[in-house]
Amino acid sequence: MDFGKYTWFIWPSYAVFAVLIGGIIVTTLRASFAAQRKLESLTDEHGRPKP
Amino acid sequence: MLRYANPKKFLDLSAALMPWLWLAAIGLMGWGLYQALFVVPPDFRQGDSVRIMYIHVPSAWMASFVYGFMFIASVVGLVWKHPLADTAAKEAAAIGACFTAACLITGSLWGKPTWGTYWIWDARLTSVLVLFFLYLGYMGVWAAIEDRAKAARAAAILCVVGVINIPIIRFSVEWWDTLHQGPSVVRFENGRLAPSIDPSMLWPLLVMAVGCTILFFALLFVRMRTDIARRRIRTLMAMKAAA
Repeated sequence: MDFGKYTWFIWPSYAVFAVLIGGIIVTTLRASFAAQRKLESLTDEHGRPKP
Repeated sequence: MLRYANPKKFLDLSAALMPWLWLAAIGLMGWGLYQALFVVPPDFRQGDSVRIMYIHVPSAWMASFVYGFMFIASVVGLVWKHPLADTAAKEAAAIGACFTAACLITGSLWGKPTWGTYWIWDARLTSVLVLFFLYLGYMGVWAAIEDRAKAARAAAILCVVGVINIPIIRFSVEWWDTLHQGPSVVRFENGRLAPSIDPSMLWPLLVMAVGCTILFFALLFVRMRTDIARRRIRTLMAMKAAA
């Protein structure tokens, strides 16, 4: 998509927004999945600590 | 509201809400971004550069909103010692910092074609930069102090003191002569608040703002759940080590 003389300001703006917001989404979800996996390895199906 | 400050109730409530929050955030932001890039007309004065507004303005609103949220959570944590208040403030900070960084960088990229410069030390830009450093400082306090209760207290005090910057950001364009424009989405006209931009531009902007707000809560809930899970992991590991 060509925005004329503004192309080199508009697309980098959207790229920065995507990287920052996408970055916080990805790091948040990765940390969540890692913590859940670790918790599952330490507890049984009822959430009680494994012996 | 306070009865949901119980971690168990929070986990149940957030588990039920999260899928809907993610769905709403993706839907609203997807529609808003599509409108911003491909549908809305160029501004008669700023041309296509106005398309940056649809990410810059919601980011700016979120930068202040998230700090306001952290302020309330910090006060609740300091005064009533609610178990989830400190967690909520702590986990909101990184999200707020990302929105503030997005606001500063997109604003800079909008400033160059509009003002002829990427940066100027005017009151609005400088106060938002201060807000970014407040977010970094707040996260730094949490990272630097090992004892959780002490870290929560120190970070909450920093947050409460730093809230003075929020009205400065809001009114900087009225109190001082700034290169940054004054309030331009809604204005007081003939004694009442009225939108000052065309509905074809206003709606995508509002939808993006609502989408960003919902995304914030979706992210916040995931991060708070992760923090609770990590604390449980630490307890279980300590129990195992002691056994």
